[in-house]
Formats: sequence, C-alpha cells, structure tokens
Amino acid sequence: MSGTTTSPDKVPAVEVEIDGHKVEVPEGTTLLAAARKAGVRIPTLCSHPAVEPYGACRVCITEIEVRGRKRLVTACNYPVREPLKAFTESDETRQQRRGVLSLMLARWPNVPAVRVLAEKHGAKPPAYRHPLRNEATDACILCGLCVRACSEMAWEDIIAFAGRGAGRRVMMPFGEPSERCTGCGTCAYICPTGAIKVHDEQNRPVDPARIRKYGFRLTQEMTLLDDQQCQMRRVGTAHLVEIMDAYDLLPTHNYKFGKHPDTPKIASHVWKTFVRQNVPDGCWAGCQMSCAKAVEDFVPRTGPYQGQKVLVDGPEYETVAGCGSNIGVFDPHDILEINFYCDTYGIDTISFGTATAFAMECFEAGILDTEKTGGLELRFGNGTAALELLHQMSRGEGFGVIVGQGVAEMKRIFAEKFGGDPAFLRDIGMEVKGLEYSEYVSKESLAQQGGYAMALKGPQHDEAWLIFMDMVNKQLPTFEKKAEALHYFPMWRTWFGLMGLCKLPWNDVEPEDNAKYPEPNKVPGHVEGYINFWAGMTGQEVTIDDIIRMSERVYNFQRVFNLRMGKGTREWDRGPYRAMGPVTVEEYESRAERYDKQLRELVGYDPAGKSTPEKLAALRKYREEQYEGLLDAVYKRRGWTRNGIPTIETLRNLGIDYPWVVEVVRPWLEKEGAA
Amino acid sequence: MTRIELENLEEVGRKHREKLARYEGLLLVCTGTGCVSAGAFSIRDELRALLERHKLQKKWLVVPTGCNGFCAMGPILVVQPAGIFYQKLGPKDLARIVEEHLLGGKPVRSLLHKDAASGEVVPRMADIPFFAKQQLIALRNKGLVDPESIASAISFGTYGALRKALQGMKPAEVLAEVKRSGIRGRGGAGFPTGLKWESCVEAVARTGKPPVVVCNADEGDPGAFMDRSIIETDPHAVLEGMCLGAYAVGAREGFVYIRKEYPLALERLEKAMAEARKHGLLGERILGTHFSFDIRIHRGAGAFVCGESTALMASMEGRVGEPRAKYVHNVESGYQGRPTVLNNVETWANIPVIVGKGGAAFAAIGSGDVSQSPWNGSSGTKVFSLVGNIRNTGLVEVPMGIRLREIIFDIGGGIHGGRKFKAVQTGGPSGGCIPAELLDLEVDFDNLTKAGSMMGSGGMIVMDDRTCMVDVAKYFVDFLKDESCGKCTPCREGLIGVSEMLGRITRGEGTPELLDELERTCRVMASASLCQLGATAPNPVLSTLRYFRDEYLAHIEKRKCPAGVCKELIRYQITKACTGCGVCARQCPQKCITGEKKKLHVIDRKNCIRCGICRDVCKFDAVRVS
Amino acid sequence: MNRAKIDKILARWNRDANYAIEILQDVQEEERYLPQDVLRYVADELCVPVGRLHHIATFFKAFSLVPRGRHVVEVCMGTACHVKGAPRVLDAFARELGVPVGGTTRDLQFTLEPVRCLGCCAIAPVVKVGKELHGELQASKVKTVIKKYAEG
Repeated sequence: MSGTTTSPDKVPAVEVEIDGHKVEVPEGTTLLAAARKAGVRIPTLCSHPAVEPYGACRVCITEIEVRGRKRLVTACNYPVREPLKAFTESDETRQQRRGVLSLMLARWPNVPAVRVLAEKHGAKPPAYRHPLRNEATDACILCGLCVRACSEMAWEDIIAFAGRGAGRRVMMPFGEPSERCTGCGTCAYICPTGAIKVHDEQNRPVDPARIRKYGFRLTQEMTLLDDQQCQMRRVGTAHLVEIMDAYDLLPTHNYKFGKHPDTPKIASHVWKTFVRQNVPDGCWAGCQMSCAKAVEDFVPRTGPYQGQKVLVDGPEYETVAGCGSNIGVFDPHDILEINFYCDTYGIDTISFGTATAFAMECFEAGILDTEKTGGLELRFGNGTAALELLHQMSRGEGFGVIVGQGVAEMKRIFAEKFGGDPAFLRDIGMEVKGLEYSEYVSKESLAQQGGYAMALKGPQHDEAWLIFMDMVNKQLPTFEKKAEALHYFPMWRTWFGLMGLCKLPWNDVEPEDNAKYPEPNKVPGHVEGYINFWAGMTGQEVTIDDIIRMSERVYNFQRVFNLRMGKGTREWDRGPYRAMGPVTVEEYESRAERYDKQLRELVGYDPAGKSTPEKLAALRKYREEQYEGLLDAVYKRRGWTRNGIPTIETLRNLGIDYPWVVEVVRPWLEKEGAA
Repeated sequence: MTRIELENLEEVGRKHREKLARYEGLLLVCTGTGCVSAGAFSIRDELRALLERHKLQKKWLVVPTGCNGFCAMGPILVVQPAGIFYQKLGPKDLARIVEEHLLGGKPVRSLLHKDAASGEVVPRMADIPFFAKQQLIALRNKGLVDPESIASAISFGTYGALRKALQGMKPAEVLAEVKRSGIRGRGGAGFPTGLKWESCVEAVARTGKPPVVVCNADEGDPGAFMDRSIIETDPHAVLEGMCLGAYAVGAREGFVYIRKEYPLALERLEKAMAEARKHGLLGERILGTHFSFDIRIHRGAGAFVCGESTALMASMEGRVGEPRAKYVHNVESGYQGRPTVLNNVETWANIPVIVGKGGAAFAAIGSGDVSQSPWNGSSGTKVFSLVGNIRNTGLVEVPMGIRLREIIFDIGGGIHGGRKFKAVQTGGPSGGCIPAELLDLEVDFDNLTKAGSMMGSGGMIVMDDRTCMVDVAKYFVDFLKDESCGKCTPCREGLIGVSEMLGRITRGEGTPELLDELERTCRVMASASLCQLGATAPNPVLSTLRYFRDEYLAHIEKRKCPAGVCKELIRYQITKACTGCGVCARQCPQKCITGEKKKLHVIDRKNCIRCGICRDVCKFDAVRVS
Repeated sequence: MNRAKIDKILARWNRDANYAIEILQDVQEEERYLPQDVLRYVADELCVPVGRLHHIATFFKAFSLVPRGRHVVEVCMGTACHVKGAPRVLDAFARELGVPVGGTTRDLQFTLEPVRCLGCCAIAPVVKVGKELHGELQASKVKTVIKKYAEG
C-alpha cells in the first residue's frame, strides 16, 4: 500500500532566464516556480505551493521580456509558455513592488509579514492616513490563503470572502461558526499574519504550534501528492483493486488465484463513477485524507430495502475484493448491495466475503449441494445467492445460520455432517485463531504469511503488510530480515492503536522525498511527524525506539492474554496451506511455470517428468519448512520461546513481569523446559 | 407564420411591408426607456383610442418603436411617410395631431421641433441637425422597427445576412468578412473582433472543446446607454449578429449577460428570443439548415466589475464576479474553460451589416486604413450617448474619425443655458476628461487613448464651467472604490487611498506632497492591478491632472473650488437679483433662508448645509456660489 | 419563505448552479431580502458551499441580508446624473426619509439605495422607485415623490 508514483505526461520544456540565471522548466510552470528553480526568490504574500495561485497581493510583480517586449506580470500565476527573461530587481519591478507594499503598509502598518517585506524592499508608508488603518500585528491582509486552503486542502469551502471593494473581508458565512468545520486548523497554519487562531480547549496540548506544523505538512502532502500516489481522496482504498490484480495478489475464488480477467469491471475507475462524498470524514480534526467514501441514491434489488434509495458507506478495497473477486462477483452493483446489507445487519464485509468464498469452494468441490444449502446455488459469481445467504444470516434462517458461524465452525460442521475431507477443509478454510483472512493473497510472500498467521487478533493485515517489501522489492531476503520486519511493523502499527491514531496518514501518502531514505518502507518522514505529535501533545521527547518499546509492552501482554485464552502457542500461529501455496492441481497448473522454477532453483527438485501431485507435495514440503524457520526467527527476535511463549526475561525487560502475568506463562515455559 | 426557411424569409418581409402599405401612414411612437419614463406608453394608448374614436384605425397604424435617440425631446412621435417629428408630447396634445394633421393634413406647428440656434421650426426629422449628421449602422432601424415584432424586423432586412451566410458562405468566409471590415470591439478596449474570432477558431481546433459566444449587455459605464437602447430598439439585430458569430466559430451555445437594471431591454430580448425560436431562427436547424444555435440569458445582479470579461464569466458560472489573470485568454479558456467569444451588444449589432454588405464597405467608413491591419485605424461608425450639460441629449451614431466639435456642437447643439464648454468625459470610469483645446480631435480608438482617455462603450458626458474637475475625478474614484471587487491590493487599497487624498483636496486640506503621492499611487494602480478595472481606475485622475492641474492647485493653494462645487470650499449667497418671491425659503430643508416678501432674502451660513436646492428652485438666478 | 416557493424558483432554473445568481435574485424579489435559512437551503440543493452564496449575497448590489423596504428608491449616481446634481437628490432623499444612504425606514416602507447608471442619462437626474422611473428629478421635487408612494 505504499505510494506508487505515476509519471506525469511529458510536457515540452521552455528555457527561461531569470536575473541572468538560465533554467529549463516544463511548459505551464509558473514564473514563481521557475524562479525558485533558478535559485531566485521572488517575494509573495498570497501564494503557497499547496494552493492554486491567486494573484491578489501583487507583491510578486515582476518585469519580463517576451519576444523583445517588456511587461509587468505577477510571477505567482504567470504561466511560462515561451522563452522569456525576467528581471526581479529591475527599476520597474522594484518601483511597483515598493508601491504595492506601501499600499499595504498604509492599512496594516504593524503586521510583521508586511513590515519585513516593506523594509527589505524599501517601501515607505504613504503620505495620507488610510481610513481603514488597522494597527494590529495580526490583522487579516486579505491574501485569501485560508479561503483557498479550506477549499483546496481541506475540501470544505467553509471559510470564504464576503463583500466587495473596501468592504471585502474573510469570514464564516453569516459570521457564525460552521458545524462542518472540524477545527482542522489548516487555515490558521497557512495564515501569514496569525489572524486566525485555533483554540484547543479539550486536549490542551503542550505545544500546539509543533503539532500544527506537522499536521499542516501532512495536509499539504495530501493536497499535492495524493492524486499521483494513492488517490485516497478520489477513490479511497479501492484504488488498490487493479494494483493487486496486476501483482497477482487480488484474491479470487477463495484465494485460489490472484487475478481475474474481469477485474476492470470492479477497478477504481468504476468506483470513481459511483463515489460521491469526497469530503473529510471528520474522524480526526485536520485529517484531509477523506478515505471513507459513500455512494448516494443506491437502489438495492433484494432484501428489505429493495427499490428504495439508500446510502452505501463504502466500498473499501477489502469489501470489493472480499465481496467481489473472492466470491467471483464482478458486478459493482452486487458488491455495493452486499456492502450495504453487511453494514445494515452489522456483519463484517471481510468475514462475510471470506466465509462465503469458502462455502462456495466447498459447493463447487461437491462437499455441499443445493439440498444441504437449502436451495442456494453457491457457485462462484452467483451474487444473488450470496445476497440471499446474507439475508438468511440476518434472519437466523436456513444455510445462513451455518455460514454465519464463520470458517472455523464451517470446517467442523462440513466434516462432521457433510462428510467433507477434514484435511482439504483445513487447507482451504481461510482462518487463523477463528478469524477470517483479509483480502490479500500471501502465497508468494513468506513474510506476509507470518504477518497474517502470527497476528495476535487473527489474520488481519493491519499488523504487518510486507508483500511488496518481500515479494516485489525483495528487501527481506533472509529469515533475520523478515523477522526484523515482523518485529518492527507490528510494534509500530500497534502504537497507532495505543495512541488512538489512524494508520493511513502514515503511508497511504508519502513524502515526496521518501525514496531517498535508506528504509523508505518505514516512511521515516512521517515517523518523525508522529514523534513530534507525541512530543507536542505531552511535552515529552521520544525516539522511535521508545515508541517501539511502548508497543512491545502491550504486544507481549496481548500475547500472554492469547495464551490464557488457549490460542497463544506455535500451533495457533500457522495458517491454512492456501495462504502459503497452491492446494489444488488447478492452482498449481495455473502458475506452473512459476512453481516449477521455484522447485528447480530454490528447492533443488527437478520437476521434469513429475506429475502435478508430486510437484505439489514437494513444493508444500519446502514452503512449510520455510514457514517453520520463519516462526523460529521471529520468536527469537521477539524474545519468545520456540513455542511462542514470552520468556520471563523478556517480560522483565519490558517491565511487565507482574506476578499475574508470570503465572500465565510459567506452566508453558516449564513444559518447554525454559523456565 | 410558423417556421421560416431560407426560401421564404424574403416573402415574410414583403408581406409585412405590403400590410403596412395598406395604411395611409404610420405613427411611430418612441417607447425607449427615456420616453417611457416621460409617459410614452400613455401616448401610445391614447393615440390608439383616438384613432378608434375617429374610425381611423384602418388608415393609420400606431407602431411603438424602440429608442429614437433624441431622448431630450421625449415623448416623441414621428408621422410617416412624411417623417414629421413631434416632440415633448403630452396626452392632451394628441387630439390636435389627429384632428389637424391626420384629418386636416396640416402638421401642428406648436408641437414640432424648433432649432435651438436659429429658433426656426423644423418639421421633418431628417432636417433636424441632430439627425442630419448621423450615419446609422448599429442603429439602422431605430425609431422605425417594432422591437416586439419579428415580421417588422424581417421587413427591414433583419436575418437577411444570416440567410446569405447559411445559403452560400462557409464559416471561414463569414470570419473573413468580419476581419476585412476591421471592426474593433465596441465594448471598451477596441480589440479587433475578427482576430478574436480567429483565435477562438484556433483554440477550438487545438482543444477540441465546444466554443461559446457571449453578448455582453452588462453595460456598466455610467453615462452610456447605447447597448440598452439597441436591445430595446432592435433586439433581432443582436440575435442575428450572434447567430453569425456562432456560425463563424462553430458554436451551438450562446449567452446574453444583461444587467438587471434594464427591465425593458430584458423583456424585449426575451420576447424576441421566444419569437425567433418559434419561427426557427434560433434553436435546432435554423432557417431549415443544418446550423443549430440557441441562446440563454444571464441576469447581472448589480456589479460594475462584471463588465470585465473574466468576472462576467465567473458570474455566468454562478460565482462572484471576481476577475482572474488573463494570461490565458477567454478565447482559449473562458466560460467553463471553453473557448469563448465575448462581444458587446453594439459590436454584435454591426455584424449583420458587415456580413450582409461585405466587410470592405464597412472598412471604407471611419478613420485610418484598416485594409492591412485593424490596428491601423477605426473603421465603421460608433454610437455615442451624448449627455450631461448639453442641449440635445440622446443617442447618436457617427462615423469614426468625426471631430469632437461636430458631435458636441453640430449634433449636440452645444451647451445649455449659454454656459461655457469645459470638458467632455469619455470612456466611463476608465476614461478621462478631454478639454476644450482638444475639440478638434478626430474621435477614434487610438486618438482618445492618446488624449489620456479612451473610447469605452461610448459615453460622452459634457461638462460646463459649473463642473469641478477634482470633484469629477473624485466621483469616478468613489464610484470605482465601491465597485472594485476588492481582490487585489493596488485596486482595493489604491482606490481607498486616492479617494482619501482627493477628499482632502476637495475639503481644502491638500498639500503639494499629497499631489505627488496621488500621482505615485495612480501609477502603481495602473501597472500592478490584476484587471483592467483597477489598471484604468486612475485615468480620470491622471487625465484631469494633465489638463486641469491648475484647478487642483486652486483647491490646494488657494483653498478654493473655482467651479463652485466642493461643499467645504463654497458659500451660497443671494444676490440683488432676488425678487423676494420666497420659493427658496419654503424649499430650504434647513429653514435657514429668511426675508420679507418682495425683499432681498438672506441665507444663514451657520445652518446652511449647501444642498443647493435654493439655487435649483430660483427662477431669477439670484442664488450664487462663491 | 416556505419550501414550496423556493423549490419553485429552483425548478425554474433547473437546479443549475450556474444560475445561482438568478435564483437568489428571484428569492430577493419575493422576500425583499435573502433569509439565512433560504441561503443555506439553496446551497444544499445546488450542492455549492454556503460561503459562495454568502459572498454573492454580500457582493452584488441586488441583494440584501436584511429586509428591504416596500419601495426601493434607487437614485442613479451615473456621471450624467452626477453632473446634474444627483448627490443633492440623494442627500434630499436621505434627509426626507430620515435614513442613511443604504438604509431602510423603520416602517419598512422605503429603502434608499444609490445605483450606478440606470442608462437614462438623457433625462438626468433619474430616480427609480420600484419599477417606475422619474426623470429630471431635482432635489426640490423629492418630497412630492415620497408623498406619492407613502400614500399609495
């Protein structure tokens, strides 16, 4: 889920000469940006890289020469379209700039932003007294940055100009506080004079300015980078659908495969046409990610809301994959309808999708039939059957009662009542610790297999999402590297939970220069932001090690809790084989070239002339061994025993060796002889 | 009459002419806004009633027309075919006209026009000097056509040029005629219309976006009302012009942006559009051809800045009329980012004549030689509104290049009440004041600019020696201070500052340093403002400083207002001419004029608020300003 | 203003946000001002920020956020009117009505507004009351005009 930067269309370059410095810029670049590139600073009061140029203050007025003709333009909004020379210190430029600053000085004599520029450029107050002279140091200078920030950065358009001419002012409509305003503070931060103030009476942070600085940086990145990165604002997490398909990671037909020819039918461009509510969600004051999406005026074709207009909250990537490709449904309407009814009934879309996919595979494998399902043709792609199953679950009727109990229970029931092969059911039943898998194919990433199966709450990707690092970018070649990642990322992500913070702003938008850091996957620029947030809030300086340690204490405590609940040992950290490799002949043969190559190169097993079941067995043996090796390495890194039990020493180091904690682990340690 | 096609357009006109020919004559009642406010509708109704009473309704036809142009003389009635011109009519005058003129065959002498200079009665409209020197293109049908009848319009040849274009001209040929005419935009800056359209065609080819044509009827310059008059008089001429423009640039969609202050024009435009649509002259398959084009109206809500093209387009998009930088032009990216041709009413009204008679004929009129480049002169005619302290106020259309003196003295009849001509203000708030020594200026785009003023939309406000030029400058600055959108610093703060400085000068608090600061501020505004409203806002100040600097100095050095206008610097006084009639004392809102009947009255200066009512009401010119 | 009335106006303009200014003009005409709740409702219906409508309402002369009088007296301040004494006419109205320029009488009968050129320069100075024009109106005739409307 790291930011994927797409390269912009090639635009022709134009050569410009600024105060004698030659520089090439893409056509359409503003003169101000071109000057910055040439190392020349042109003063401005109303421009900011994160918002559209406005040309209001006129301080950036600059003399240029185009095709031999000289004229004055404002650098902030003048698009360079042909070769030109600019003279930022010519007599004409200086005279006009001084004049403009002097006009501002007449009205706002004490605003530092104005005074500093006026002094620097030799502007003097005029010979008359301005009728609207405002002596305040934090007067509003009508630059309009806040108005544009509220519109373009916060996507809210709350704060606005009013009146005209001398009566122009910045205000909330009717001068009343707006209920839409989340207090994000973007306007206050971008204001060059301090005319807008933020009062935080609930949290009383120690250093609000420090928090706002990093908050603003994030807002700015969302404004400038999101469209080229994850498009969280425009589609939300559903932007991942086609990316996952491209890397063979989009679960289809109960995780058998990672891509499908029909994926374009449910790709992000489709969702863009449905999704309407691109507004900040308001879950965090100041977060402009607007990740949540909604579809307005949706009309379900089944169920109690059939034929009525409803609002669908979503869809997110997990829903599209879980209730779409993974059950073979590629009709966006059906996905939205499942999304809507899951929400309405209080059912998790991931669990529903994964559980239904399991039932469907069992149906297609002959373990189930319509007699057993009460008439439901639970074949992959049957959206109508999936919806009916969902309605049955909500009513506590029919086959819905069975599927509604989840994959772990279904495995037992199908084996006991319907004569299913328990080993096969175990291999394809996508759950660990009783929770259904979330929607990524982890077969080709050993680290991710661990990330899922070792997760304390069950196979959710929010402890560690390592597929790209491991499989695509090959940054985790050894067990030790993988183990380190499976230590760092779960701890780091646990910290968001501890703080009550959201993970998305960490790496669903990345700093422009992220790639230049040695460990870009950790998004060091944003880690720094969180450190400053902590410090600004509490007044306490911390390092990343301190943060990891905070999490480790909680993480180990959670592990002990799992242990007490009977699900905290090595056997509970193993996933179904479907999450690790091909279970069926069909799966193997669909990617035979890849698997044969691995057998040859990694396993040292010559696939030539071997039957698929033979090759399947060889590959499985190898992958299961690999996984055991991973478990050993991770446990070691976490300070746990080979059975996955935190040692007394680990507990002591973390300062959680309370008697009632030690009491839980001691019998297990003794059993291993490790106490 | 239903849909009109290429083939039967002429016939519609002919039938209408034949219908009118059955009458003995036509009674053309001017129903322009000026005449209407003077009671023209009751003249029209009363006249019709009289005709019925005398059973003349089959012999004489009352035709309500748009603005005749000679607004000072309203209400106006012209009796055709002889063209007898009756002026300043009251309902009571009509019986005599019907009885003596229509029945008796003798025009009513006392109601005819008298030439101010000679005192002679001039019965025929064409002989009146006000009309004699005019040359009509944009106003070709004024006072003749019924603005509320498409058949009347067609009978005068309207839509003939459109038929010609659709029948045998390619869009590029229409564009070529417009280019050949050399016509420059009548709305303000005088940009060549042909070049504008050509850039639009290029932008459409480059971007593939559908173009739009817009008619700017947000006539904002105070003192200019030709656009209102053209729409009120001959709305179909404007629609035909827009159709031709749309055909030339390939637009299917057009807009008219019209001020809400012009209710009559709006009403007539809406009627004209509805009729044109009904008869297939707007909408799908115009005149039965493959050309389709329709127009929608946007109503301005009262903001001078919306005459600025980018502000106009912003408000057409339902936003505040705030201009944007024009580094990318409207013809490239205007209304909703589409290539947009914007011309004002008068320009559009000229187009049918250019296409109909050929661009060369148009180019032959006016100043300079535009055959090589439209920038080499000003072709065609221009409509001016001649107002202020002038005898013959009204709307005149004259060839470009005519001397200012001819307009003001020959057509305008000179200054009221034997006072002295002081200056003429042209170009609205963006223009300037031209002094008496430039009366021989040949009026065209470039000469006016050279003189420190500009053409603007064609307002000419004549000022006599009772006009204070500092006050005039302050008037324009205050007007603009109120009308500036407030977006950019130089315009917003500059206007506040300049108004403050002029205020101090008119109050007698000026200093020489202040005058320097005034000029400095004006120059910053001119160079650094975002749009033309701000950039031209200092023109009234700079032009009066240029020609009437001594008047500024009188305010500053002598603390005097030579024209007797600036309240703080003047005193009202009653001279010996007072007959003691007591009118002023009764009208004085301060009750500060006293005096016995038939004896010299006196103003109590302590309580006088210098409202000037006493001077207005005095029939003996006994109230003087010093 | 009831919903049905606003909805009628919105429907007239096809709920097209490009016609926001026209929609507000119609509201202004009906109500003689733009009530806050109506602006908020219209903003919702047109899917535009209420701040935009508020800016429009405070930007254009046609609009008012407080009720205007039954008769809006518009004194033309065009150049021709100016040189023929419009400022004195405006002063006279202010004096006779007892309101500042831009103000409304307490009985909500009159609102006094200066307007830019009404385009009737030939009959300057001009005053428009409601939809009626009064040409060549000198300050001394102001009382008579007010009387006409105060009674009617």
